[in-house]
Amino acid sequence: MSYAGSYRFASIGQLDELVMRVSLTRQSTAFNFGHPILPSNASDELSLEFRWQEHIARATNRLFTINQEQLSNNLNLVKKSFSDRRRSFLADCSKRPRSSRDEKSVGPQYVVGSNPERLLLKKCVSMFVLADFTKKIGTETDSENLLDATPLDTGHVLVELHLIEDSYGFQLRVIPDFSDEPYTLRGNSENTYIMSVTVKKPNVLQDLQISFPRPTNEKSVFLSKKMAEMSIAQPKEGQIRTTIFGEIVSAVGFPKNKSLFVLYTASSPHGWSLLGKRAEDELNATFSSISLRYRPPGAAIAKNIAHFGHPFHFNYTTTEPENLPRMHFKVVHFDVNTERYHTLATGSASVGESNLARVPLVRTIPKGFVERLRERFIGGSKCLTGIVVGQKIASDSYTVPEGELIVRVQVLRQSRKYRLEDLLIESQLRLLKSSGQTLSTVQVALSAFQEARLKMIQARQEQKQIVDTEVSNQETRQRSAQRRTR
Amino acid sequence: MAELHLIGQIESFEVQETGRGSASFYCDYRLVFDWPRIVFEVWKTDSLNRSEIFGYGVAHLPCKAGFHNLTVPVWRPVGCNAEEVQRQFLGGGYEITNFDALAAGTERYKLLTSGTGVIRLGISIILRNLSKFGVRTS
Repeated sequence: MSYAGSYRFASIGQLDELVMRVSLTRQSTAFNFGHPILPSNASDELSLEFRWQEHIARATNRLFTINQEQLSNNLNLVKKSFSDRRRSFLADCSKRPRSSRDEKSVGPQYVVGSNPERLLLKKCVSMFVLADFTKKIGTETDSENLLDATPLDTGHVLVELHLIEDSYGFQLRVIPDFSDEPYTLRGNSENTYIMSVTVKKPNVLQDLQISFPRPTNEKSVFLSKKMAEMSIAQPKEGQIRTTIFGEIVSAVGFPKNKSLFVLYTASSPHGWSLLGKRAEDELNATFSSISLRYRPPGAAIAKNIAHFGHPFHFNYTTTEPENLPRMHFKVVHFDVNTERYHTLATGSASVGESNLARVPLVRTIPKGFVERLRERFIGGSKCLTGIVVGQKIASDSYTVPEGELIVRVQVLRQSRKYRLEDLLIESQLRLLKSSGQTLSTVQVALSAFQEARLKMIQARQEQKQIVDTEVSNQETRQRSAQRRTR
Repeated sequence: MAELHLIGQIESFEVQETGRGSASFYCDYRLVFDWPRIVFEVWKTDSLNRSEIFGYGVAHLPCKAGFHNLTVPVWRPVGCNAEEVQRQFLGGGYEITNFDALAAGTERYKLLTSGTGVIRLGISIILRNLSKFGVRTS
């Protein structure tokens, strides 16, 4: 039992789909030679299937037993969901005392529980699958005592499950490792059991469910036509709902072959409030991307570019549309060897119009020689720090330009005011279109007005010319009179 | 009901990553709805007629009506060194099976990716009846 199988996950939420199956087969002693062998004449088999997430989520229900009626005749368990079994068991325990039939049950009893001492530690959560091969379990304890009992005291430990959180995510360590062969167990009674545990791991990571398949010769290509309905609710009177969405396209100008990721958040100015479940100061991160030497299409010079293409989405409501929200970015490199986070650059940009923005980034460098050496050789901090909005640069440091971030931003605005303006224009057009008589009358009146205006302008010009000619004639007369007097 | 009509074509895929031998590429795409964004899967078919994933790309559709040239960066998940060597010689690689999670998540930086190229799109957007809901695109 010194081996351990480990299964790695990205986050605790992925354990929702983890299915663990423990099967225990009773074997005749005649075929037990002390080696782990598969039962050739297995007479009966008991199996237990549960979902790990349910134990993690609720601490009060971490200890449970399987329905005794199904175990009594050593029959295969009906494949129900674990929650139904637990619910029925707890209901049975709380409503009525254990029946005499349960007391006479034959075969092992499964107990899945956790060590309460280790549960207090954040970094390691341990659970145990236990079996008691005696017939007395459950006869002397009621449901509350059973739930509060320490699982290690109630039976033989079949499986130890340790959920360890490290810097790469979560690691489920199963002791022993049942991936190769089953193990034999000798119970307190004369029976010997062969136990096997299989952990079905449908997904490798939680959000981005990824797998590592071999290339296939066949790939079915199909195109599907999809439709969707977006319900667009009107905002309140006097408010403008602004939706800002887009993508963090790429980061340019950072060192080559370095994995980068971008932390981003948005800060709302006065009069703006964020809609939805997302908190204002919630830290959003892109996935890590390796910066590679690449010449973009149409560019003459190759640059170090890390592609992200990461979408973001913010919903605001505002009464002061003249102010604009700002998006803040922070480019971070995570060093796997030293497990340190290096902040490479920070920057921000106001978001007002739809465009492809190039956000210039700056890097803060300390002025002190020792601090610079420390940053050069030791690097960043052990923990990932978020973005501090409006942070001033300390007096003992200065900034240098460091790369840029290409962000595609699009802005949608929605308001009742816009709707009323559009309705006004629509009603005017509809009125003109519906009444053709009115339309012709208006057109005639406008054309007559234009004609009259043109005639008036022409008359003014003619009058002006006449006046000009009269003035010029008078000037010529005066000049001729002056000549005569001379 | 507001409508958005998308008409266009995938113009080209420019490969950034240099692989072994000659290969051909083709794209799968689908739309994800909120404000609609288009998700690409770029597949690579090598000389042995084996298909494998070559990258993914995500882009929101423009909210302005008219013709747009879009450039969508394409990336693929990267494994450890042994897996990369395996991928280099035997093919295969990590695949993403759930695209809906691309829009949210905080611990995503633990997924390491590498850029593989750029998809160039030429699309036309027709918007209809958005003004009925008081929506204006800037």
